[in-house]
Amino acid sequence: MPISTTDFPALTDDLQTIFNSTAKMKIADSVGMKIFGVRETNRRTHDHLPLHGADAIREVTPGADLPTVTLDQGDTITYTQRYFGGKFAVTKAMRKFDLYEQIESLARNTTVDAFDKVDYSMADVLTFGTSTSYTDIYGGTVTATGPDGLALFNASHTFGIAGLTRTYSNITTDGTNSNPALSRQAVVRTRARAMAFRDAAGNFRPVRLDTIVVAPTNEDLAERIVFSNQMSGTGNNDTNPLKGKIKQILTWERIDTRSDGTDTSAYWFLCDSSQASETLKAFFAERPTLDAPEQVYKNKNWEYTVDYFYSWGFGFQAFVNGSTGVN
Amino acid sequence: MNMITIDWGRLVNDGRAKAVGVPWSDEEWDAVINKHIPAEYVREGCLTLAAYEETKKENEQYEKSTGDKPLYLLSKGELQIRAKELGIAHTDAATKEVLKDLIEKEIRKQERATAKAAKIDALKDIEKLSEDEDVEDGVAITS
Repeated sequence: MPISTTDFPALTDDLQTIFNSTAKMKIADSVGMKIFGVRETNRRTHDHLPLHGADAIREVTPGADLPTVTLDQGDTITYTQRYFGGKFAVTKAMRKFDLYEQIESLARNTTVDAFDKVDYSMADVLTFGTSTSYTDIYGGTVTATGPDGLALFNASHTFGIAGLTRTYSNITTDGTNSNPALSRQAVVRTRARAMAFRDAAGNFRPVRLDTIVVAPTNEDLAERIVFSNQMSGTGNNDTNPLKGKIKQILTWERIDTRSDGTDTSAYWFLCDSSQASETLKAFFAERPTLDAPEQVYKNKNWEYTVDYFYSWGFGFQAFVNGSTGVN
Repeated sequence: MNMITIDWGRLVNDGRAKAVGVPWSDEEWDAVINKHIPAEYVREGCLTLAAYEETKKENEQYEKSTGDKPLYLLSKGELQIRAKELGIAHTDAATKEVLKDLIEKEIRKQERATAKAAKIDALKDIEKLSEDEDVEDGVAITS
């Protein structure tokens, strides 16, 4: 039975339901949404200013004034919203011949594309982590420098205060080489270095790397390194101290191949799950939404749109460590 | 559209970026941060301590012979004074690199103007000379 203009509200409701269920599934699957600090915003731009060196808590004589926190301002970074969207048309032929499956498929695939691109754009932040500029999944050029003017991963990040005197590395190490392949030794060494992290003023601010992010290629190895009862891959029957320290392994299929087609399956990352949102950031001024056409005509395409505003990138780099896996 | 904006001016002034919008390459950053070669010299291409020492010596000789430092070694304040002397309008937001570029362009412009003026003078002299010769020739013909 043909879909007529009187059926438009019902069709729109159906497509909205498809959009919502697909979006829910894609958000649940998205690793990016799990490790990025995803926030809503009403502003076109978001200013981020890392502050360092809080040293305010002192012993105070009861009744005396409490000391005021003084912080050192680090470098600033501003994220500006970008707009993305697309539309699909429910044609007259689809309505006349009641090609409901095609209509449904159009809605589902457009929704999948939107959420996949959001997830891919987040994965690219990590896989392009050694570059200072790249072409993103949408074809736009992205400046991939953090507030200190360096790429996400660098052996000598600066804090933005006290000149160049204090630096830190967030490139994974196995104690000998930088950018090692995933191994137990590399996880242990990088975690140890991160736990000795000091802020710009020299205060201990341990970074607890408790999450491993890998491509499917490395999933099996990562699980054996972390979850085995004994030391994985050796004749050593010692207990595996990493077990319990790494809270989660996130397998991100988008790390296998970067959006420019480069094989990045050996890349792997370590995050501090409680602070990674300080490093990896996404700001949505409008999450992907499905909108119905405002007017419908009997003989014309009914154009449904999916669009969204967001910006993404990284701020203070200390809470995510990365390796290209090829030293 | 650029999604990310950082304070390039500050980074360049701190020696943490090569120029506005231009981060250091890995090799250059290694020279700045690990070999402690001043950013001004790394911007001039000195990536090793040997190259730095050699360039430093050349600069010392240049300073001895001209009484002046190369522009890239001047502080922002010194560059601002030099720019003012040359009549270059600027604000405090102009980075060292921008001031240096403007001063170099102004110096080149003035050199070109001086060379052009000298050329015009020389042409005038030639014209005058040939006019004198014509007169002399004329005199010679009429006599």
